[in-house]
Amino acid sequence: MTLLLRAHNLFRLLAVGFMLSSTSMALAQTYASCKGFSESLSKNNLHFKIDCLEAWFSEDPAHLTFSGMPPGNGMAFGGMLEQNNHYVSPFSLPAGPGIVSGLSSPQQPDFTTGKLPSVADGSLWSADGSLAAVFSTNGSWVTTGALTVMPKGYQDGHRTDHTGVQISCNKLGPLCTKQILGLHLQASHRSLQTISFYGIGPDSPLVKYVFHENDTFASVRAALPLADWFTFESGAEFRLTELPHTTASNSVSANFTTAAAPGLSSQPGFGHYHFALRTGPIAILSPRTDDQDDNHTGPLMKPYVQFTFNNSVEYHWYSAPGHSASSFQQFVEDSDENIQLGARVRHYVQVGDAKTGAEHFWDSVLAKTCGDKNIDWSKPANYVLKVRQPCGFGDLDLVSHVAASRTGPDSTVPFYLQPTVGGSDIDSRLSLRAWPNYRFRAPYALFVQTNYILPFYNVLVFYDAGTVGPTFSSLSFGGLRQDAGFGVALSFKGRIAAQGYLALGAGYGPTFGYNFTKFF
Amino acid sequence: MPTQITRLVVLMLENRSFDHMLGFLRKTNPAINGLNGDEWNYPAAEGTANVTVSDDAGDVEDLNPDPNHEFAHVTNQISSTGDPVGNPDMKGFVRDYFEDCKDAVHAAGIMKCFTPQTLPILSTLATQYAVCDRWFSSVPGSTIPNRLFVHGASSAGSLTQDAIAAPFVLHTIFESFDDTTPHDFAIYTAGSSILFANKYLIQNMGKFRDYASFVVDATSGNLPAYTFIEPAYDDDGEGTFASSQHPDFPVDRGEGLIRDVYNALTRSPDWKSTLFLILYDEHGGIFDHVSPPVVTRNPIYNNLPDVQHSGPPDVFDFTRLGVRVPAVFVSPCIPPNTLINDRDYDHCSVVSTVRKLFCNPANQPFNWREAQAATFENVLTLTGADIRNDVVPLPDPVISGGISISAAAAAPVPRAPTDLTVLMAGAMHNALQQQGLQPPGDYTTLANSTQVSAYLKQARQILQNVAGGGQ
Repeated sequence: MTLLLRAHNLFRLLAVGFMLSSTSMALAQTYASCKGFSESLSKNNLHFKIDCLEAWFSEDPAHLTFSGMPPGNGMAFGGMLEQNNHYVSPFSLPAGPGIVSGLSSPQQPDFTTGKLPSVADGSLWSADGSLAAVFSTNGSWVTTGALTVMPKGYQDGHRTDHTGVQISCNKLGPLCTKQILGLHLQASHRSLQTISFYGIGPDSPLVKYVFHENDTFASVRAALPLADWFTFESGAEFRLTELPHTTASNSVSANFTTAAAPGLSSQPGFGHYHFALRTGPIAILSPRTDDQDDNHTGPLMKPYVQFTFNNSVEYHWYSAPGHSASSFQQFVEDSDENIQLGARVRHYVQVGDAKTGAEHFWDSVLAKTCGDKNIDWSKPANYVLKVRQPCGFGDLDLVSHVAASRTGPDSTVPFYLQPTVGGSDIDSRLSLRAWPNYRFRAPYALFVQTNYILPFYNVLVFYDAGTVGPTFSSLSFGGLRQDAGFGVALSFKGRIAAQGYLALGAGYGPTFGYNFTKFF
Repeated sequence: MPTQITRLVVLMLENRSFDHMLGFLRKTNPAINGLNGDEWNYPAAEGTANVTVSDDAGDVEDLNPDPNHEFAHVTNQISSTGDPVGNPDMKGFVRDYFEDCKDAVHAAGIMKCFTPQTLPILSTLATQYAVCDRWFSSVPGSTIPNRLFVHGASSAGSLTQDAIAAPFVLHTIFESFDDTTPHDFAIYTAGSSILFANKYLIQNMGKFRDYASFVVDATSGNLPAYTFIEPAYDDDGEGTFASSQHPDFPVDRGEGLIRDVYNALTRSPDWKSTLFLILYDEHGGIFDHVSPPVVTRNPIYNNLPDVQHSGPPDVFDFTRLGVRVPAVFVSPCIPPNTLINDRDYDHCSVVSTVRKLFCNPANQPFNWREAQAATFENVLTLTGADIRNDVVPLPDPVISGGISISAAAAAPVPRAPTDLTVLMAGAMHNALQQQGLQPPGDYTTLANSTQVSAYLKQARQILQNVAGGGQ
C-alpha cells in the first residue's frame, strides 16, 4: 500500500511537471485565483497546492514555464509569452478521428461538430505565436519563438463518410478536411552544457565523455491535411551548430580526433529539408452483441478496444554548402500504436456468485476496474458487475523508431547529428531505459518498445530493445540490447507524455530515470 | 400488452417551444394541437397591429439577443396582464421580448415558427412515429431548474439560472440505479453537462461517456438501459460546435445530431425494444399558444416529500408547469402519425418512467411531483410481428429562411460565451469547492467560449483525477 501511495504521489509530481511544461494545456487560470497560495502551502491539501501552482504557469499571455532539457542538462525554468487563436491547426496529430476499415465498428467522427466554421472570406485566418526562454541549473538555456499561420483559401464543404453520414469539412480543391493548411515558422537558439558521448558504434566502451553544444535554428514547415487522419508535411531549416573546444579531462575535444568523432573539429552550417507523411487514425473494436440486463450465463466480457495509430515516415536531406563531406540523407520511421484495452460486461455477477476466496478476489478487482468501488459485499443479491458495464484494463503502447543515414562515398554523418539509442536522446525520445542517455551512437539506429500502463495508479511496465550500427544490415535482431522495468506514466492524447521508471537489463544494476516529452 | 422498453435514450435539446418547432405540423395532421396560422400576440408598442405567428423562422438571427425566460419574464409572456392565475392568455411574448431587444420589428420575431419543410428531421420523426402535444417544461423558468427536474423531479429549490449550488445537492434518478438493480445508465456528453457538478455523479465519473463513442456503443449493443445525451452547448474553439439549438446557435446542427442518434439507434441490436425520446428543456421565451397547466398535489401522495420551494425574490411552490415544449417519441413499436395527448406530461415523467422501468421498486419517488407525473412505459403499442422493420430515411438539415449559416459561423473568434455554459462553470466551481478541491480559476472572469470550454474540461479533469472511474 505504501508503495502504491508513493507511486501515486510520483505520478502526481509527473503530472504537475507535464502540465506546467505543456503550453497546449494552458487553461483559464488567473493569478488572482492563487492569492492564498502561500497560505495553502501550509495546508495538507495536495490538490489545492498543485492546482494553484499550475495557475502561475498558464496565465495568458505571459506565464512561467517549466521544461525538461535535453538529457544531462537538468530541468529548466523560464517565462513564456503566447497568444493562441487557433481553430484547426494541422500540427497536432492525431489529426482527428478518422476511419480504419476492417474493424467491426470503426469510430465515427464527432457528430456534435456539425458545421465547421467558415474559412471563406478569411474568417479563419489565424495565428498562434509564442516566445519563450528557459534556463537550467547547469547553465544551459533555450530561447525560441514560433508562429503558426493558417491562411485563408478554404471554402465550406461537406462530404459523406463510409457509413453514409454527411459531415462538414473545410474544402480546398478536392480536399475536404477538418483541419486546414498551416505554416509553422520557428527560430531557436539553445546552449547545452553537457551532452554525453561514448564513442560511435554498438560496441563502444562504457566510458563517458561530454561535449558542449550550441545550436541555432530557423525553420519553416508547411502541413497540408489530405484527410482528417493523414497529413503531408514539408519543411526547410537553416541549422548552425557549434561545439566549443573544452580542455576538461573527460571532454570529447580532449580525447577524440575527427576520425573517431566526425565533425568535431569544424561544424558547417546545414540546409535541412524534409518531407513527411503522418497518420493518426482512431478506431474502436467492439463486437456486436445483444446481451440483456438479465444475462447470467455465457461469456463474462467482450472486448472494447480503442486503437490510435500514430505513424510517420520522413525523408531528410542535410546539405552543407561547401562542405560536401558532411552532407547526408536520412530516412526516419516513427510509430506509436496506442491500444486502450477495455471490455464490456456480458453477464451480471452478484455478490452471491462470488462469495469465496479467489472468486471474491477477482470479482473485487473487476468491480474496481469497471468503476464500481463501493460494493456492499454483505448483501448476496447486490450486483458486482452489470451487463454492458464498461471496464478499463489499461493502455498498451507499441513504439518503434528507425533512423537510417545515407552518405556519399566520401562523406560522413557528423557525430553530433547521428541518432542515439540509450536512455533519452537529444529530442527527449526514450529508447533503452536501462542504459545511460545517448549511450550508443551511429548513423543507423533502431529500437522498439512495449509499454503497458495498468488501470491502477498509472503504473507502467515496459520492455525495450534497440541497437545502432554503421550500416542498415548491421541492425540485426541478434545484436539487439534489451531491458525491462516499471514506473509510473502520464498519457496525453494517446501518447505517454511523462514518466519515471526503474529499468533492468544493462548488466550493472537497476537504473532510475525520468523523461518528459520535448516541448522546446 | 405493449412491448417492454429495454433501452430508453433521452436527448434533451435547448430552449424551443412546441409551436415554434412543430406547431405547423397541424397542417399535415389536424388532430395536433398546433397552429392555425392566426394565433397572435399583443404588439410591442401601443397603437400598432397585433403580431400573428408566421412560418418563416430562420436558422439563426431571429433570436439574438437571447429572449428572456426567467420566472418573472415567463409570467409576463404567458399572461398579458402579468397575472398567470387561471388560464393565462399566452399573449405577452412579443412585449416581453421587446423589453430585451428594444426593437419592435425584431421583437415580432418571437412569433416566427418553423415548418415541416424548414425543420425536416424533427418533423419527419414526429410524423413517422409519435408526437406529444401535451408535454410541458417542469418549471416556468430557465434551463438549469428544468434540466434538474428531468433528473430529479426537483430543482433543489432553484428557480433561476443563477442557482449554481443546486446541481451539487440534488438527488437524481441516477442514484436509484444502485447495486440492487441489474440495470445501468450512462450520460453521453460533448464535454459539458450540469451533471458533472452533481455530488453523486462526481463519485461515479465512469458513468459519463464521450459522445464520440455513442455510435459505436449503440451499434454494437453497448448502451445501458437508460441513456441520457447532452448536446454540445457551445463552440469550444477546437472544432466542436454547439448542437443544442439554443438561440442563436444554428438549428440545423441540432437537427444533424437528432439524425445521427436516430441512425445509430436503428442499427442497434436492441432497436426493437428501444424508445428514443427527443425533448427540449424549456421554451426559451419563444411563443406557444397553450396555457401551462397548474399541478395540484393529489392527497394520496401526502406521505411523500414536498418539492423544495424557491425562496425570495421569486417565491414559488412549483405547482405550475412551464411552457409547452416539443416531445417526439421514436421507436419501431410506434405506428406512424401517433399523437400522444392523453395526459399532461412534463420532465418529471422521465424520472417517474425510468424508476418504473429500471429501478428497485422498493425505492419510493423523490416527491409528489414525480409520483403523480404521467408515465410513458406503455407507449410501445406495436408488438410481435407488427413491430416495424422500416428505417425512415431522414433528409439533410435545412438552413432555413435563406440565411447563410456562415453569418453565425463567421462571428468573431472566439465568440462570447453563453450564459448557460458560464453557469455550468459556476456549478462546477461550486462542486469542486464542496469537494475540498481548488477550482481552475475564477469562472466569473471567463471572457469567451473557448475559455469557458477549457475551464469546464479542466474542472472535469480534476474531478476525474480524484474520483477515478471506468473506461
